[in-house]
Amino acid sequence: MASGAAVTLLIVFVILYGVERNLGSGSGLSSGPTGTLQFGSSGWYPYVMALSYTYSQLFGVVLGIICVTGEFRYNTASFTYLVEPRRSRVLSAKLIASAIWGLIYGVLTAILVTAFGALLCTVWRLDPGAFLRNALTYLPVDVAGFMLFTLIGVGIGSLIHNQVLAIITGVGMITIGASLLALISAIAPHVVPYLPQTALMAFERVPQDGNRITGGYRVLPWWGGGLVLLAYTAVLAGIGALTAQRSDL
Amino acid sequence: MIEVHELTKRYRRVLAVDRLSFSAVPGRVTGFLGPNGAGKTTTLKMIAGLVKPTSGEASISGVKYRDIPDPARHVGMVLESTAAHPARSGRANMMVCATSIGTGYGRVDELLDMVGLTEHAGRKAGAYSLGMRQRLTLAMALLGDPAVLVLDEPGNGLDPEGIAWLRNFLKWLASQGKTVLVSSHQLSEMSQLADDVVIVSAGHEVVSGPLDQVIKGSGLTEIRFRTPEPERLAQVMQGAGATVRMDGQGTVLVGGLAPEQAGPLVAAARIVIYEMVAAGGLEETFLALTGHSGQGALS
Repeated sequence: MASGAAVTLLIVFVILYGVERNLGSGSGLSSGPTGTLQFGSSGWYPYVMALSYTYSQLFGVVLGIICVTGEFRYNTASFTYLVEPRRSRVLSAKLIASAIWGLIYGVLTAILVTAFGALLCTVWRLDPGAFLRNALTYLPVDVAGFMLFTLIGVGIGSLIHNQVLAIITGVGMITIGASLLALISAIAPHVVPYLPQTALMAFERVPQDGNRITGGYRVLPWWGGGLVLLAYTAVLAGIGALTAQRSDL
Repeated sequence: MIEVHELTKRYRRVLAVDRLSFSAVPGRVTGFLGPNGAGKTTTLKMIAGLVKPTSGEASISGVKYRDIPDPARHVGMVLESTAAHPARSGRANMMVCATSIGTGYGRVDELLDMVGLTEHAGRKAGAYSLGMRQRLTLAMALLGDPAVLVLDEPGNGLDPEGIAWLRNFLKWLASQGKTVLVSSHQLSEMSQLADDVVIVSAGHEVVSGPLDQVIKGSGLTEIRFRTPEPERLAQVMQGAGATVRMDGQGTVLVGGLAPEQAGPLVAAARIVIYEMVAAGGLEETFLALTGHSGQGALS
């Protein structure tokens, strides 16, 4: 019961957080500078779909971390390695399983975000059909984005076995990383497109028109963003596999 | 058969296991004894490939654990660190293990019954007592019907009835031709269970071999006599080269002679005795060989 309530509150928080980040500042929906986007206009469709950008990062990375670190938290890792001593195979299996769960949760997230958008359409008396047609163009990459961040979570979990520390690191990377984007952009603008956040922005085609988070950053084409996320997964999982080979339980 | 050859593990400045060599053979229970911090668990983990040796090697039937195909079907490990998932029921834990090992669910209920957990199989493992968790992990280790069984302190948390059950069960497994290696600090229990012992201290082997030979070889066996003629008895025993201690109340402790040697001497001298007990054993041997002097060292 308590955990259900906590999850519900977390979902509400993330929705509000996402709305605030993606809609509420600088997009014209409140008192942003551009003033080009109004409540009730079809221009906000991409912003609603960009909610999954926030979902993908937070839930995806936490899901991936839990998939790996749960074994160490509950001391079941020893048994797993006794059944399959080749640890790189264990990690590969976890990547595959996590990708499937990431896909499932990605679909659920997409459904939730789409339903949220449809609800807004009803409130603002817009044509839900137009919104849904627009949403369909975003859904595949939104789902894939969730899956990729789940895999990045697996990579983080394979490096940091302590579940609490791994989640703090993963969530911290997202939240602190997001706040550091402007700083990094000023110091080393050429690095920005290759950061996980901006790669996911590119992949999920998050609007780039002055939003507080996304505004002004150069991003890769969507497929480039996907490749960068895959590269992060590969590097983290590779280091995780090497670490697993050498670590003692 | 388990073979450990020159196994060494160093953690930075700490030498946890130092060139340890021993073997555990099929059909016998091998007790692996040592005080806390002697390197017992580290050694067992190195046998299972969970800890990487600094040097040396351990093999099971001539093959390293990681190279055994379907290892959980050949080797059952019950280590401190192998735990059942607390949020799953006992039966669910068994079913997950059966799926992982690939044995199917056929033996799940049979093994739960064998370890006495049938009534509690539906309860979450997190709610189990320590003894019940030990029984569950033992059942998990037996799922693959392994020929080799390695157990780290399996008696921890078991009540006297459970300890007696475990003793008989492990002896029965050994009688079936299985190799059983058990680490423990419960010396009285181990003296009833083990056929062979390996005693380690500070990471290195102190002594190993058949239990009775190890005890005899230590020279620590004493025979306690209660007699109305302690002085005569002491004289006879000293004449045979034994060491003698007397408490002044009719008890004579004789060292350096086996009961088979002392008994005939007493009979030949026609000395009346009320009691003759072979004192000394694994515990005394262990304490003397490992340099520990009390139960505190064993807890």
